Amino acid sequence: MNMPDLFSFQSPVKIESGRRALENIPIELARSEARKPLVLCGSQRDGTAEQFAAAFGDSGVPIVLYEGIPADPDFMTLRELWGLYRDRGCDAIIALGGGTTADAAKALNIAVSGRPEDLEQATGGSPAAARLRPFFYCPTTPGDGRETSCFARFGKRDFSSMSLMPNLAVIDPRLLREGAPGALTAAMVEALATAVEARLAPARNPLSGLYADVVIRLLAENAAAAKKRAAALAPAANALCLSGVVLSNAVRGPASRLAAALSAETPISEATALAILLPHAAAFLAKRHPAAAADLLLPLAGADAFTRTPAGERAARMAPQLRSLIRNLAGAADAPPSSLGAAAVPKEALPAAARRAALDASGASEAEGLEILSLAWTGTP
Amino acid sequence: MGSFRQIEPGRKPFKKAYVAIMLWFVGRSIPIAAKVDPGIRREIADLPDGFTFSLGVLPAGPAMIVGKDASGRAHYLGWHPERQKVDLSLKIRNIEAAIGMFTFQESTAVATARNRLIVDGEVPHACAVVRILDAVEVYLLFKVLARLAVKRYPDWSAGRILWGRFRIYLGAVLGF
Amino acid sequence: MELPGYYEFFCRPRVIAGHEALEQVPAALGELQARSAMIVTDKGVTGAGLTGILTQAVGGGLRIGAVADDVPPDSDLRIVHRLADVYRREVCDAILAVGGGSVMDTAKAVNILVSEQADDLMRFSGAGALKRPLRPLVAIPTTAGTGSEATIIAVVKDHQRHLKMAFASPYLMPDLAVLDSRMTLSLPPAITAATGMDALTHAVEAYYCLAKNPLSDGAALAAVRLVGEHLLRVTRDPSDRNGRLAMATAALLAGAAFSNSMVGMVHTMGHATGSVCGVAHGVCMAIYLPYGLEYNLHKRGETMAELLLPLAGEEVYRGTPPVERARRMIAEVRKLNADLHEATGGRHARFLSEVRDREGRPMVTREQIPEIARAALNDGSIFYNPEEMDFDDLRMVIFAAWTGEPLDASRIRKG
Repeated sequence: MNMPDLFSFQSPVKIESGRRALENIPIELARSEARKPLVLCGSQRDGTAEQFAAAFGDSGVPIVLYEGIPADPDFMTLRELWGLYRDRGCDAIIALGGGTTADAAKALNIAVSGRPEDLEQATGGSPAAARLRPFFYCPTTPGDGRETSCFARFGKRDFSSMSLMPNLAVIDPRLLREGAPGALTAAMVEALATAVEARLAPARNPLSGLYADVVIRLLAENAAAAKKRAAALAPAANALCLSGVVLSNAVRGPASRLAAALSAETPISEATALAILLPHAAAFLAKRHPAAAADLLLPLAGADAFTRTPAGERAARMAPQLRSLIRNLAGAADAPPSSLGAAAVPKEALPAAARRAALDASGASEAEGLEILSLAWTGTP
Repeated sequence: MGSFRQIEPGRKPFKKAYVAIMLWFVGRSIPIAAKVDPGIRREIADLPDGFTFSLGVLPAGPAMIVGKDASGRAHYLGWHPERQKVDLSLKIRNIEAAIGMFTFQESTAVATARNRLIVDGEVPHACAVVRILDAVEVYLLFKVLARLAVKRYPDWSAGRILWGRFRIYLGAVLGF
Repeated sequence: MELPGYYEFFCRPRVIAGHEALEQVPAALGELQARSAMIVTDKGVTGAGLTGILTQAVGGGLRIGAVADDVPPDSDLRIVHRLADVYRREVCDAILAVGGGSVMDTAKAVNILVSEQADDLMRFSGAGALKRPLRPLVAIPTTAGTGSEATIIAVVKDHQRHLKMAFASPYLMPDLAVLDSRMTLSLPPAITAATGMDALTHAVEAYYCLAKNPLSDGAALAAVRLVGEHLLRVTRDPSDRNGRLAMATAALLAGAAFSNSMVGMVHTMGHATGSVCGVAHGVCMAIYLPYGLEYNLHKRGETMAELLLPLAGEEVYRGTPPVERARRMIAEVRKLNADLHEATGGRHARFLSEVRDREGRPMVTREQIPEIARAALNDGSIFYNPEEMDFDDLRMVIFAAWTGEPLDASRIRKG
């Protein structure tokens, strides 16, 4: 196991996951001396808000439920929420939903710990160090793996601070939904990418590694093996919450940077680009860190397959194993195209994407990024 | 623009009633079981004189209390733990968790492992009380259900269990 | 990977680990708005020069308001009160706890008093009594170890009233756990072996007891692997810095694992043996661990088999057919004890009748076994054990652990 000379890791999110998890929320609020949460939900009317409210029966805790967080909330929405929070005497925030709801909740938390103007005037980055209010997250439809992370995106600005992470993530199977077509696959691939890239990063350490391994195993052993799509929801939700923690302790790797860059330059969606790019980026990183790549085969393939593979071949087997896992997670309905070319990405766009990704110092230079993109374009394994 | 509403916490009267009945039965069974079963009698004898314990549901009941008087006998003391000093309280975190336990979806051991219970009092006493509850459950429940409730079904004779069950049900309902 | 019907997991402390991790403490405390720390430690730690290494490492970046190095081997209520007074008098705003389990417990208790501005510690005993975050607490373990830098528990003894007070709250967890290889470099082989086996036991029991969950499993597997790769080597070569860091990480991971998924009969019997006969915790863990595995084998064999690869490595795993892996795991634990026994010149005991005090006298007699079994009945950890245990079961297992003979499988009553 790799022991760096110096490493740091933090996971301030408590996880409560499984049957009757929701009913614990009143006691957890009491533990943080909160008595009246403002609960934010998206606009989908899928019964989750009603189920959530029912869990408070017999608890003595009233809730203020706001339904209709839009897909791209703005400062007007934030002011409305801030006013509601203050007028109703709320003292905690719960996000019930996916990525946008979580972002809105984090932004609101900054605002209520000061004033909404603070958020509007902030140029992004870290909010002031004031202690934020208790913030819980309850997944429903699949998010994008950033819900439990230290990151928040609001009003086209990006914020980042460990204090933005939810104090508690409550994963209750009753609330989990598949969401829009392709959403579940995209979410799982996102979580997988975060975990794989963290395991192959130069700054990998035993703690980020163990969280990453749990994400990979939940996806490989539970979600991919699920006979029915619905059975993948719980492992996927758990994996997503944990991947947010991994993300907050890691630097984004080449696959996610290139996917983001490519989707900014071309019509391809970030999720599809990531599904295609991840095995190629992993193969590139495997050449740089063969020991880490070999190690990664263990959570991907399981102990028996791992020990049966000769030690010298493990690093090379990792990327193909990863590719087949992505296909299993996607299933027949969401199978990604076999290459960027097959996904109708114009070859001329690749250099610009490589340049854009390299700006963020992803650990792959512009030339290396272009090499990964080119291999992914032709589909050479 | 979204919509908002304030939701006051609802009630769950049927679930509370079910749990209340179960707790009443268990509470009234313990003193009888102590007369019938030497193991339970020994556990009660080892507890301090005047010791009281309660098993209840947060935030506001139902509950049951059992106490040991100065002469060493156990008594059912009702369902209002706030009205007296309780040395050991086992509180189930919410009504749904209580339903899970009293419909045998979660045994005492599993419920403890899943953090459904909050124990307030000294650990050795809690250990004794859990052993007493386990033994009482063996008497009260048919084997099929008791096996779901306890970790290891004891190897008592069928006669011991049947006589004890008869005596405890009779005593719990009639009060002696 | 098993996704249980319900689970909880929380490991709050920020972890900074490395060969020069202590130097990061002033900046990390600065982020928590703390500038003036009180060091809580014991004479053993100061005597080994570790307090000096710490004060030098933090240099001018942090004011050391006070150094209290008189924490006894067992946490004591009177010391807790005295240290709280020192903290207030010297206007400190953070605590650096440098030491083993007792120092950590004491520091956590002091933190309750100074944060809640209270005088009566009893008010906060039990679970859920704390409602707010406490003042900054930094845990710097000097053994590898109890893992108490990652737990929500603190235990304090009131020697005057003969009481043990237990506190459990997520707010008790340190804000920061600093693992620095310099802090365990001077650990003598026998203590390295015992504390290492303590960490292994935490990880193994967390892996097969009733409250196991994906995260505690991940932490436990990582811990077992680190112990398997490093414990024997570090016991033989105390100056192996990477090995020391690896073992410190293993102890923290094992602490995170068991703090969330609890422990079972090995701890039940270990606590009782410690309180009746005064045997050190790690020594008890090492001796009882194979017996805990044997006793629960019929209920958790498949789970135990999963520990063979991380503990014993690939060659052993590949050479063991699946049906034999659980038993091989138990054999490997016994082998590890035997190897450590040899590496420590016989100081690491393999069974209870081999445990000796400083004068060479046996610490556990056959006649004490019933008393140990009785004490074990009062320990809450028994409830998380997969199989039921009553007085007779306990006596049987403790006797086997006394002689060193494996358990007779036919005598295990299966539930």
